[in-house]
This record gives sequence, C-alpha cells and structure tokens, in this order.
Amino acid sequence: MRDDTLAGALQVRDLTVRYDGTLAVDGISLDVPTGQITALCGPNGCGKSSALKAIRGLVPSTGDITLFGQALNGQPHRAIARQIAMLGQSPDAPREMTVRDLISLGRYAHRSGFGGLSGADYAAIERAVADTQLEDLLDRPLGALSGGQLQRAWLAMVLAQDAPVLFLDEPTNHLDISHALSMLSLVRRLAVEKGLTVLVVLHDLNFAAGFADRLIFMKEGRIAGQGAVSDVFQADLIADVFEIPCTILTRPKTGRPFVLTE
Amino acid sequence: MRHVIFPLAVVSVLLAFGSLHLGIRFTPTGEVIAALRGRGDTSAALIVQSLRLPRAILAVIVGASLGLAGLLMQTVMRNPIAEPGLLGVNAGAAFAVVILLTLWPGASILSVMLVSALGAAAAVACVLGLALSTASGLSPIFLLLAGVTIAALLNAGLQVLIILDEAVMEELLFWLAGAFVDRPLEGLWFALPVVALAVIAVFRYRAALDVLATDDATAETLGVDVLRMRLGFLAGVALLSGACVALAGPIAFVGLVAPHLARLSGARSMGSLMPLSMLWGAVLAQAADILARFVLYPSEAPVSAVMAIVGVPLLIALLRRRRIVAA
Amino acid sequence: MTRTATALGIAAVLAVLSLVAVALGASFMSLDSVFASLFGTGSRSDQIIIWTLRMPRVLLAILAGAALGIAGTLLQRATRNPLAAPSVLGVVDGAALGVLLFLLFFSDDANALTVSVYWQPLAAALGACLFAAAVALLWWREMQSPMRLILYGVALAALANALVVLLIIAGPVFRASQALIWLAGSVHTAEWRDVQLLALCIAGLAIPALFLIRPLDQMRLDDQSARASGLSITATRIAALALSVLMTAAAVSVVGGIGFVGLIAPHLARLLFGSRIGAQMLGAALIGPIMIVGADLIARLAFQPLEVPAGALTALIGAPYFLYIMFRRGQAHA
Repeated sequence: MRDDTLAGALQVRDLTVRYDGTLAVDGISLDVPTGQITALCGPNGCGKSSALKAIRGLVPSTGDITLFGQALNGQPHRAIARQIAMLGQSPDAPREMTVRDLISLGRYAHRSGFGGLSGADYAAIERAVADTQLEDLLDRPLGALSGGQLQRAWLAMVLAQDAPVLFLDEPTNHLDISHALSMLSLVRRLAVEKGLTVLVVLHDLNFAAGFADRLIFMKEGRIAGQGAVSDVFQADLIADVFEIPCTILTRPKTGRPFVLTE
Repeated sequence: MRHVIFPLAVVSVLLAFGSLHLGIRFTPTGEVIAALRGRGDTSAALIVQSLRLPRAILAVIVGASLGLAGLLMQTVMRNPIAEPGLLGVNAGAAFAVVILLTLWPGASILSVMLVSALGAAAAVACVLGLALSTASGLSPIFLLLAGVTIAALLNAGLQVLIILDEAVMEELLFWLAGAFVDRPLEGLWFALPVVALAVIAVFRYRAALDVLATDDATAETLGVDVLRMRLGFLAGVALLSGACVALAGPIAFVGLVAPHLARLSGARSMGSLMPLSMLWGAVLAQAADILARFVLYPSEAPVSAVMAIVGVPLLIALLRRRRIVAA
Repeated sequence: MTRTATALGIAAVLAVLSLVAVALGASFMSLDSVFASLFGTGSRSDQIIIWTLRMPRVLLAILAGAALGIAGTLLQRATRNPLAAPSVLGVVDGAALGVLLFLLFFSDDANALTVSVYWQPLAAALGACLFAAAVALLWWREMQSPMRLILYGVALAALANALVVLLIIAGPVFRASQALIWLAGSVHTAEWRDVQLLALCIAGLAIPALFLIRPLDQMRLDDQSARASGLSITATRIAALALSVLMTAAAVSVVGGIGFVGLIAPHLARLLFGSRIGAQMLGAALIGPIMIVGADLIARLAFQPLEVPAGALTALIGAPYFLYIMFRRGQAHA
C-alpha cells in the first residue's frame, strides 16, 4: 500500500524506538508529502506518539530521517526546530505566564545574541496571533484561559516558530467536539494558506478521515497501511487495526468517508 | 517485593540479638538469655536489661516509624527529597525543649519527652494551619516551603535562646544529638499506642496513597478526596515522627533514605513499600545503633551520623544497580 | 510597572540597611561621620573603623547573599525542584569537611594553626568542588534525570555532614568551636582580600550566567515542549548546575555554611518578580544580601558583647516576610 513515488517533505526509513528494551516502534518507513496533512492513527500503545517524537528527535531512535532532502539525524536542536514545529500532548508552562510571553517563546530557535525580540520575531508573533485570533487574550495569564483558548495559545506558540513542517500530537485531547472541530479546521486552513506540511497524531478516526489528506495506520509498532484517505480508509483495514467490526459510510456534504462501529 | 521482606526481617532480628551482646564489654549468649528471662543478677545482666534491651527496642520502633513517615512524606509531597523533618516536627520539638530547659533547668527526661511532643505538634499545626487558611488547597509546594521556612525560623530562635543561656546548652546537646541510648522506656507507654494507631490507619488507607502519588486531578477523578487524604497522611507523619522525636530526640537521615531503599529493592505499590520502608528504617537504625558504640570507642557516636555513614554507600550502590536507562 | 517599583523598593531597603550596618556596631557613628569617612574626610579613628572593619564586612555580606541567591535560582530552575538549595548538591557540606580537615591537619598541640588562616577558604573550596565532582561523576550516565542528581547530592551531603559531626566530636574542643562558627556561617572576620576574591569570582561567573537567561527562560516550558522549540535541555541544565555549584562554592568558602538564603531568596524573588529568570535572578541577588546584612546586623547588636554567627539568624530576616507573602498570595509559587 505504500507509494514511494510521491514527492515527500519527510522520509522516514527503518525507524525503531525502544524504551528500556521494550520495542515501541518496530522499523517503520513512511513518507509525508509536502503541503498536505498526514494523520497517524492507531489504537492506544501502537507507537504513533513515539514515532512522532522519534522523528522530531525527542526520544532516542535508530533509522534514517530525511527532511527536504537532508538527513535530520545529528542536526543541532535549533536547526531542527527551525524546520519542524511540534505541539506535544500535554504541554505545560507556569500559570502566571501571559499568552504573549508564551507565544514569544516559540521564537527561541530563531534568536541569537543578547537583544530582545527582533522585527522578524515580532512579525512572526503577530502572524501567529492573527491566525489563531488571540488578539484580545494576549495579556491574560495562562491560568485564566479556558481549555479551547489554552490550546489555541499553544498552537500560536508553535506557529510563531515559523517552520514549514508542523507536528501535532493529539491536538484535540481534552477539547469538546465543537472546540476540537474548530481546532482542526484552523489547522486545515493554515496548512492550505501557508502550504504547511502537517503530521498529526489522532486517535479519533472520524476526525482523521474528515480532516487529513493522507492516513497512516499503525498497529503494534508497525505500519498497517498508508496512503490517501479514500484508499486506506477501508473497513477491513480498520477492523484489522482496531480489532472491531465496522462499516464505512460516506458523508453527504463532503463526500469523505466515516466509520461506524457496530 | 516478598523476597526482600523476609531476609530483611531476619537481618532485623539478628541485629536485635546482636545489639544485646555488643557494647563496651561483650556479653556471651548464655548471660544474655539469662538476663532476658529475668534471672541473672550479675552486672552483665543488669547492662542487658536496663541498657541494651531498651535501646534495641527503641531503635526498631523509631527506625520503622521514621521510615514509614518518610515514605508518606515523599509520596504526599511528590518530592523524593522530602523527609519528616520538613513538617517542622524536629525544629518544633527542639525549640520547645529549649524553652522548657531555660525556664526549668534540670527538668526530668519524661517532661522533656512530653514537651518535645507538644512542640512538634505545635509546629505541625502552624504549618498545616497556614496552608489550610489560604486557598492553596494544601498544595505540596506550599506545604514544603511553609514547613521548611517555619523550621528554619524555629531553628534560628533556638540558636538565639541557646546563646542567651549557655547553661541550657549542656543539657540540650545531649537531647539534640538524638540517640537510642539512655532514653527511658516509660515514654513508650504513651508513644507506642500513637505509633500503632498511625501505622494501622496508614495501612488501612494505603490504596489512597497509591492514587495520591499521581497528580491531583487524576486522584480526584479516581474518587480520592485529595484534601482530606493529604491532611490525614500528614497527620500520620506528624504522629509517627512526633512520637519518635519525643522518644529519641531528632533522628535525621533514616526518614529520607529508608523509602528510597524500599523502592530500590523493587517495591512499587504501597502494600509492599510500606512494610519495606519500615523494615529498612529499622535495620538502618539498629545497625547504626550498634556501630555507634564502636566508632568513637569507648564513647558513644551520634547515631544519625553513623546511620549516614552506613546508609549512604548502601543507597549509592543500589542506585547504581538500578541505573535509569536512557528514555 | 509595579515590579519595577518593587525592585526599586527592595534595592532601597538594601541600600539603607547597608548604610545602617556601616554606621552601627560596638560604637555608634552618626550618618554625618559615616559619609565623611566614606569620602575620606572623617576623623582618623572613624576612617579606620569604617574602612578596615565595617565596610569589608558589609560588602562581603552583600556579595555572599547575591551569590547564594543567584546560585539557588539557577539550581531550582535546572532541577525543577523547589527544595533544591545550594546545600543539596553536597557543596556546603563538602566545604565544611574541607575546613575541618584543614583545622585538623594544620594545627599544632597548642591549637595554633601551623599555616596561615588565609588558606582556609582554599580548603573549603577544594572540599566543595571535590564533593560536587563526585556527585557529577555519579550522575554522569543518568543525566536525563535531575531527580537522580538530587538524590546523589543529598546522599553525599549526608555523608560529608556525618564525617564533619564525627570529626567535631572526636577532635579537640577548640577546633570544634572554630568549626561550629564556620558551619553556622559568619562574616565577622571579613577582610578586603575576601571581598576582592568573592567579587572577582562573582563577576567571572555572572558573564556566563547572562548567556543562560534565554535558555532558562525557555525551560519554563515542560521538557518536551522546550526541546521541541529548539532548546538543548541537557546542555542548559549542566551549564546552570555548574555555575550554581561554583557560585555556591565561592560564597561558602569565604562566609561559611549559610544555606537558607539560597533556598528562600529565589522563592521570594519568584513570588515578587514572576517566573522570568532575569527578573528572578536580579530579585534573588537583592533579597539574598538583605538577609545576610540584616542577620549580621542583628548578630552584632542584639547580643553584645557576644558575637553570634550571622548564618544562624538569616532565617529571622527572610522567613517571616516569606511566610507573610505566601499567606497573602495563598500560594508558594507565583
């Protein structure tokens, strides 16, 4: 099911992750095409989060990772951060930090020397604020934000990083259905407008099918299937990966598939 | 882990037995047994009955209590270097004893014990009261910092009082050193029920402590009343370590290290961590109490210091064996 | 805005306190004569008292307080443990052991030192660095776990402390009392030489500390987010720890085992100035000196003719205010 022909922003070959000797990701190879949204799906413990962190270099791994034709292994943290921005699963910062402060922390990889923020920094922060519509909340402490606002603030920090590739690890966690949807459609809009390449870990299959261009299914540390949504979002594959019987239907408006469990 | 509990218990019994034999003069087993059965009237029997038996008993009780109190403290505070003294127990007791000795020089040892227990209780009440009177919700960091600050304040006050009245110094140094030797056992009539009650209560609620080790939100969703449980366990720490400070004076180190030794022995859940912490505490205290007789022979060495000299290499060896693998 | 005002207020308190500390002592001096002496126009005896006795003492207290405040801030940030004080890495107890061994090896039967007492800070610094190095060596392979670092530190500190206690008991009484004064921490033997030495050390260490401001600010994020944004956490942590250890060693070598300042000054600074590391370090570098200068002032005046080691009293200055702020805010961390 893999199509090696696709021009990829990111190529991963034989990625293996071990925690204390336990195999979490077992030699997977995958491709993430430029300017598209790719969703990593699979049951809990299938290794999707570990794979994402390993590609970003946050957990030790073996294998080859190529980003825009250049090997990622061994590049310094700041260089990688200028190319890949990542929002983790449960990010944390002091409650009294303001939204503005948080977003400006996203500029770390671009700053050098001693001075304050540069013009380019301010411009990037402003863009991130406008994209996430946080103008009115800039001076609020994080502790005073609602769950949806907080997640938008973190997304703004990651956007301010100004990287062409965006990794998101379960960005809809702790959000209700309407906030989850608006978060995903925001990401979708930004990806289209800015030509971002997005790799997102999602456990909700219907979110993934409604929002991503491509899907990668993982099971027990291996890849069970990858390709365009219409190609891989099939009842037999999902039934195999999640071990539940299911039916695939089509959404009346968008024509995208969705899954119905028995 | 079961396979550590049994050998440790055996070691503890052997140490207790050894404790009765060893001292400035070695007492042969025959005389020890005779003394224990209340028969011997030789001086050796007297030493065993009135000196060595009490300190052997104290070492076990105080070591085990402080080991358990340390485990509670580290778990409730979610900080691996928390120890019972951080609630202000030792500082409060010491401060109260100095005031007692300043006002009534030559107060009896039993009154010193009683007053130190009261001082410990007052200090803990201050720390918990301060935390409860704010909206902090007994957050670990608030409690730790309040405790460490109040303890430092009491210690500074103690220094001032000592400087103002040097006569107190001599009596006090004996008490401040913390030891199992020369402490009357009468205090046990009061302390033992307190310790027993605390141990039983803590074991009864061990499942809640397992949950408290996670974060507050998780604990709440799992049905634990975080505020009440935290208060309850801290009260347990106060009772256990308060009884200890009354019995033996301030004993450091064991409360910090025994829980780590228990964890490094492979215990994970409170059901095994609690007995293991108590056993390790007892064994450490017993070993230190025996060695303290010989380190500065013929005089007694301070038991906390000896405990550190025994315990630190052990702790480091165990830490090295369970090295954290790159995550 | 209000934080700037707070900072100015605290700086003013420190300035006034320092001035009072110069003016007061065994003999009282009017502010006029203090200023006159400072500018070189006072009476000869005033000049001597101020320039050779009180000025170095006050300056040393200020420098040591600033060093301990900064060291504590760096340590708490690097370990993410609110209980981390400069003493938890074995530095303070290591220094104490160094001093005790020095007193033991280099004094004769008449309790007189056989070498110059000027070497004592070197012995302290050696002890501090040796224990810090031992902790670092144990931690080397497990660097991703700051918790392990603290455990090794606390363990070795306990060991050093135990050795100190045994040496004090086993050794002669005179040396024991000298050692006890050192352990409590005091600035009463301050000389210009000490001031210069400590000032040089702090200046040398402050420059690399400036480079750590931005990385440490980034570490306000959780480890994973900070790394994802491009920060090299381990390198930052090691640099901050090394600086903290060196600063503590420098301060402790000269003034002795004053530990509480390094724990409380950073927390107080954080409550007053927020979590930005630059503001917190500056705050701690102002609050630390207030605690030691204030404690030394009480130590000198309240117990005349006795001289009490200032270190024993630092809690009297900082602790009540810290408790008050904690109580008013209802939290221990801003």
